[in-house]
Amino acid sequence: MKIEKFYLNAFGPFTEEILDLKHSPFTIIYGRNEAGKSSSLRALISFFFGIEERSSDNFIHDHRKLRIGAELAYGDGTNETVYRRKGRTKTLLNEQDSVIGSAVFEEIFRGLQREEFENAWGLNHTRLKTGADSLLSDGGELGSALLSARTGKDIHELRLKLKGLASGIYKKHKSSKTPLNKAIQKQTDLMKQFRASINHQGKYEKLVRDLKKLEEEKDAKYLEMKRDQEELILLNKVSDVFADYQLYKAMLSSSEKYAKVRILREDFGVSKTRLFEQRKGFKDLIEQLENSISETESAIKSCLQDKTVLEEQGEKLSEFVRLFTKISEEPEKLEQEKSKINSLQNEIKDFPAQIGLTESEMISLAEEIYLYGFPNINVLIDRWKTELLNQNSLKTRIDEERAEAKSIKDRLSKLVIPAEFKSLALELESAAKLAETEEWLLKENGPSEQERSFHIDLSESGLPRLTPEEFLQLHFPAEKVIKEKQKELIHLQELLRDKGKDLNGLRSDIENYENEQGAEEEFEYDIADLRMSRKARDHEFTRAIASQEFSSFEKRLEHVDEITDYLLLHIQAKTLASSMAGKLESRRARLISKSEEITGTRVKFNSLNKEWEEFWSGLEIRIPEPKDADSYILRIRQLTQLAQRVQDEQVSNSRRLNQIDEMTNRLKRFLPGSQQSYTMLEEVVFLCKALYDEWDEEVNLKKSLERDLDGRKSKIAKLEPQLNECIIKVSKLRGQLEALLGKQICERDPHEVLFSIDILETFRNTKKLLKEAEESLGEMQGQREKCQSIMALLVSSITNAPNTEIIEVGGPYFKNLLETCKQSITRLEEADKSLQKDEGKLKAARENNQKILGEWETLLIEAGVKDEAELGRVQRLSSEVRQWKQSVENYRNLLATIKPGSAFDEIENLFNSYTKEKIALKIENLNQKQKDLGEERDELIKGMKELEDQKRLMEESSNAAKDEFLIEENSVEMFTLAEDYIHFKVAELLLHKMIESFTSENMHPILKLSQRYFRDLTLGAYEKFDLETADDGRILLNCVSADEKYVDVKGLSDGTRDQLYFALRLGSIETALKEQKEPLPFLADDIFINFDDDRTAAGLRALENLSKSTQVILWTHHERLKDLAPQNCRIIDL
Amino acid sequence: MDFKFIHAADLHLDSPLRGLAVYEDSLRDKVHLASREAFTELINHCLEVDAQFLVLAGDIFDGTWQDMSTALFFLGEINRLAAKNAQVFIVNGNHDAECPLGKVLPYPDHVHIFDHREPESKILEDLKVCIHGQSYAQRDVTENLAKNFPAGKRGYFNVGVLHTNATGDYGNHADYAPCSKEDLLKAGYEYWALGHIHKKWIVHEDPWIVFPGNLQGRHIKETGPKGFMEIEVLDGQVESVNFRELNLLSWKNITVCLRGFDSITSAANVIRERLRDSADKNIVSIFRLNLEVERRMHDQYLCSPHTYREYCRSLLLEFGFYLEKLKVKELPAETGTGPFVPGEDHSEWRELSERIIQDPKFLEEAEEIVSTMLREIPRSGLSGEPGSGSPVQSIDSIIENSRLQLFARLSSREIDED
Repeated sequence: MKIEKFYLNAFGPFTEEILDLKHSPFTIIYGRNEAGKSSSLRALISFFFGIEERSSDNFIHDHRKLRIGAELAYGDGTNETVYRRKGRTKTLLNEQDSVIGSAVFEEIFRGLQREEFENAWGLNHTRLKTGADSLLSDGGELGSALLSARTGKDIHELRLKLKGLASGIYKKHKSSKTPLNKAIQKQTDLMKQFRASINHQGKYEKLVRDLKKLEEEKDAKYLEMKRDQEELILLNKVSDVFADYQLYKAMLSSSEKYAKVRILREDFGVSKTRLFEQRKGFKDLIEQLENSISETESAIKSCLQDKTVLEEQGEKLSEFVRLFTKISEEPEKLEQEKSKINSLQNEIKDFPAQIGLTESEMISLAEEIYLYGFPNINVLIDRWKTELLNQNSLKTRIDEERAEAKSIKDRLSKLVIPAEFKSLALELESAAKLAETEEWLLKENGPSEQERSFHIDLSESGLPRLTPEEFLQLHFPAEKVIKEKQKELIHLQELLRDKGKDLNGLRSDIENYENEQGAEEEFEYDIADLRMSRKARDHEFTRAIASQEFSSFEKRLEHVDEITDYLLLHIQAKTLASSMAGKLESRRARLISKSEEITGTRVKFNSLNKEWEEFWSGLEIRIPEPKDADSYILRIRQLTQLAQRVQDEQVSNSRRLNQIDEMTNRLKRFLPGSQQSYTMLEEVVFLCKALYDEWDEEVNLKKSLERDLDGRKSKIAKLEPQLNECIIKVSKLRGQLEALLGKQICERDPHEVLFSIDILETFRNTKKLLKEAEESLGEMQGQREKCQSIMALLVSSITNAPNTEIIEVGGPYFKNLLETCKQSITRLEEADKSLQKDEGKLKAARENNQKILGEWETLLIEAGVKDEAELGRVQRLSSEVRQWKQSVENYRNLLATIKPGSAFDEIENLFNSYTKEKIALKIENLNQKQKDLGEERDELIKGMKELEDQKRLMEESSNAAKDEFLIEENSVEMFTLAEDYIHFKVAELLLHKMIESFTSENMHPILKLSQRYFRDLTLGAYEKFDLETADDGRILLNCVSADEKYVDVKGLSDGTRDQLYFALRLGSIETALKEQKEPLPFLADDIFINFDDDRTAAGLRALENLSKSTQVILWTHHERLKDLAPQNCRIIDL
Repeated sequence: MDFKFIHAADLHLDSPLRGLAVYEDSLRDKVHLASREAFTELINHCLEVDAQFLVLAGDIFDGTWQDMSTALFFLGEINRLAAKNAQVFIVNGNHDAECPLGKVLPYPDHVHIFDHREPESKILEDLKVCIHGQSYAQRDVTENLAKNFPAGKRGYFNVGVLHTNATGDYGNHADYAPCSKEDLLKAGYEYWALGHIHKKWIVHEDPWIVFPGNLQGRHIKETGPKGFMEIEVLDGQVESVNFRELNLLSWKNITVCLRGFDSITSAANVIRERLRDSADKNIVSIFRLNLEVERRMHDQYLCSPHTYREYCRSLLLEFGFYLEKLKVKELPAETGTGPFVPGEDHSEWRELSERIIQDPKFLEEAEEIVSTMLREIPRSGLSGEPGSGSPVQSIDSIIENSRLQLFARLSSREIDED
């Protein structure tokens, strides 16, 4: 295959470049540094094997656009153009940009990879040096040398590498620290550890078995001990009650004796005793009761006799005693009543005086009030009070509103209301308009000449240099008016000051009145009188007059204030005007300076213009001579420059003139007379406008205050009718009260009225009490009389003693009689009750006695006896048998406790089977056995504990699973390493075999060809090769010089060794080409760097020689090669 | 009677997880303890759902030795069920029969181990459940045990428990206690709780014949979801059979084709994409990464396997995954599309080397290298003991790999970095 054209469409620095390789099989591609030499070589390899994934040749063309191509000529005479683009698939294209298969390349390269191709079919300086070095390092071993030359790889190095890799994994020496050695050692250790772990198994199982056996033995001991313990307990019990058992047996012998005895119930004796005692008790009781009844009956009889007598006297006595008691208490009560009446009378004695009524009036009024009803009066009074309060509150509110209105008035009086200022400002405006007209008139008359040289005019214009005062006098006509007004105001102020003095007097009067009014309010309840009085009316009148005067005075004062403020404003305006005049002066100074500057410019321009005109005119007049041509031309140039300058100046001046015009226009307004004043006026008008605004604000404020004042007034106006209404209501209520309580009372304070009513009420109540007391007194006196008359009658019926004596003597007598009578009746009643009670008791006692006798009979039958004498004997016998039975039962119970739940027969048998001695012996034996068994059991427990500890230790140390895990893990690593080791060893073996085989098959043809190349390359210094077999069987390559000297590889100079390797490469390539169906191109990259010119020429000839077999392309940046190249060689400059 | 029960099998507690490479310590512990954690989760689930009983269909333990820590762990976990009065029914599988652990363990009252001589039936009267099962007497049980199981008890919910390869058509597990589906159906049980095949497989529904698979994958061959079955019984009938996956540690075996790439770095995003697609979230995932590459990249790998492995490991770590093993396979040439010149390698070196490897003398020397090496490696004499297996490849495979190693270095631009 030959590359006829190589297309660098887009690759590295190339764009649509073509390398034409068609004309010679040997091409040198020359390029200086950065010319793209390496890129073109890389492009060619990329063409064959594809553009690499991360190619850096995309610095001009994007990866997607990279493209190279070649026109290929094959051995069969066919041609093909193929392109390569970058990509992972479908990267080979034909001329029509269609994807094509790579069958042709497959055939040519036969599975050769990029790197293999580069090594085997390419050579650069580095590879050349490496190859030569490998010859040296391998001592010229032929096989390695040939294979290295053929593959382009350092075979010796590769062999060393494979050895190194293998020994890096494993070394036969056991103490080596290579990974596999370590893994093997680790495995051995782990296996030991694992086996130790699993050896526990047998021990553990034995341990478990022993433990189980011990446990069983221990359980057996426990069981035996338990059994013996139970027997021991039983025997101890038997021993304890053995004597009792013998007693029990003895007792049983009496059983026949007691067999026929009647056993009475347990409480038989108790019943007997109880009945015996009851029978006796009832008998005594009956006797006692019968005696008592007869005694009582006789007493009753005696009492009944007295009763009749006493009953008669008793009634009279009762009446007497009641009256007597009453009368005996009377004097004291009478005194009480009397003192009560006195006290009440004293109490109400001063009441009429307190409320200014006579007693009779008071009584009748109190009665009236009582009839009318206190609650209703209270309601009326409450309403009255409320209305009064309301009235007071309204008054207070009206006063507040008035005070507020007064404050608003004060504020209004202080307000600045420049009422006349507006008209003044209007005047000013009209003056300004007039001035404007004047200015225009002036402008029309002004000459244009004046404008052009106005700076002169300005200096000579005689502008009025006025002081601000002068200016104001001339141009501010309002000033006069102000002065007049000022005068007028001063006059007014003087007048008002006089009037003010009068008004001050009035004002103090008003204040006095107001003070009085305040005092009045404090004595609201006297106001009716006051209001009605003449003085009050005078006060009202005076106050109205004073108010009028006062408001008029306030208005005037307001006016004075207004004018004063107006004047102040004018003073401000004046100050402003004066400041404006100052500004005007400074502006004039600036204008003068500006006009001077313009004048300078104008002079300059005129001078230039003049110069221009002069030259221009010169040109027109003079016709130059040819000899003067140079100077003429120079002149023309100067002229042109001048013309340009003039033109520039003209432009500049024109701009300046425009500025001047503008300034002039502006200055017009500052021109003499009215113009100046007009400007001033403008400023003043502006000020006026500002003042208008202020004026408006003040006016608005005034209006708002006035509105407020009006509001206050209207509030007062609204409140006053309410007040009046309230006053009417109060009057009405008072009228009503007057109708009820009388005028005198109702003219007072409502609290006092209430107080009066309280007094009236108290008075009335007291009067009522008085009446009641008097009635009570009367009644008591009546009763006394009545009692005295009864006493007289009574005493007279008993004795003939005079009344007074009866009272003194009869009293105690009757009293005693009455007492006796009462006691007698009481006794009789008690005797009767006692009799009834005793009779009841007697009846019950008799019944019970009968019942007891019945029970007693039953008792005798139960005992099986007929009389009381036998009863005692039977009872004693019964008790004896009972005691015997209880003892027997007690013994049985005691014996049964030794073996609860067992039948008594069994227990009896147990006792019968022992003697006391036997029991003692057996107990002793069993105790000894218990002790022995306990010791044995403790031993077993101790043994078990030891075994348990061993077992637990074994369990805790058991880690076979973990060991196995580690072994498996290590196994994987160990076998992986072992495999790697084996792979490297076998690879090394294979390489060794390949070297041997290759050498034996290719040695002669390669050496034959290489020998020729070597001779040429060394320019005949070495003639041929010689082979030598070393002691270790290796075949070594020696070189034979022209003078028949044998030199081994080590003896060659560096350069000759390079040439030897180069020769071997060329020889092996040429050999390989013979077997290559389609020859591959040989690509050399600057391989002659260390060659001198002669040897380089020889090298180039060698390549030319090779090019007879296949295409050779050499890349170089050494220009000398171009000269040294053989004639047939084609040179391409990049 | 309504109730729930749990069916699990093939716990292989503390199984050594064969074939693992060396891991970081943290992962090593995770992998080592995975089978225990899975069992703890199973017991947690039993307690959570208030399962009335747990059926373990064989292969609870693993290995022929006795590690009491394994047994104590098992007892500790299973005793947690006693608190809820949940019963445990166990048949010994082939691994258990080998392992002496089960024979010495003091099982508590709520645990029942089925007899190995004949099928045994246990009745839970309150639930109206009858559980039938038979353990393995020894490792190799080749007779059909299912045939001897008694007919289902009338009026009871019958559960059969058996460690079996069943029909023998699933996976490559030893054909122990073989039986047919019909044999199982004939017994008339409502549920057959089977174990042995390490894969979830519902052989039949209603009546149910179920393999839950093993609780936890132990190596790269045991990929896919792992867990147990939760069976709900309503009124004496199976209402639902739900597989409960235990998400503790998963094994992933993925293959990424990198045709058209010339370096591992250029192919990183493709690998990342594939990892992203095949990962389970929040689970410790251990990957075997099989890369299919073209020759040039394969050569690079052969020269720098360590670099490739570390690079892939770092890619996995980006996602929080771990690398079990990296396998790089050369893709066959694909004509006419690649950027590099494709085609079969017919170079003179290949031809030369092929001639050499045919040479018996070479073969003999190569075998000597292998056997010398293997002699150095400590091996266990017992088949059940760890380290007894030999993962070393066949001699042909070794020679081929060695040749690739050599050619990779012959054709490379740079010398390898190993």
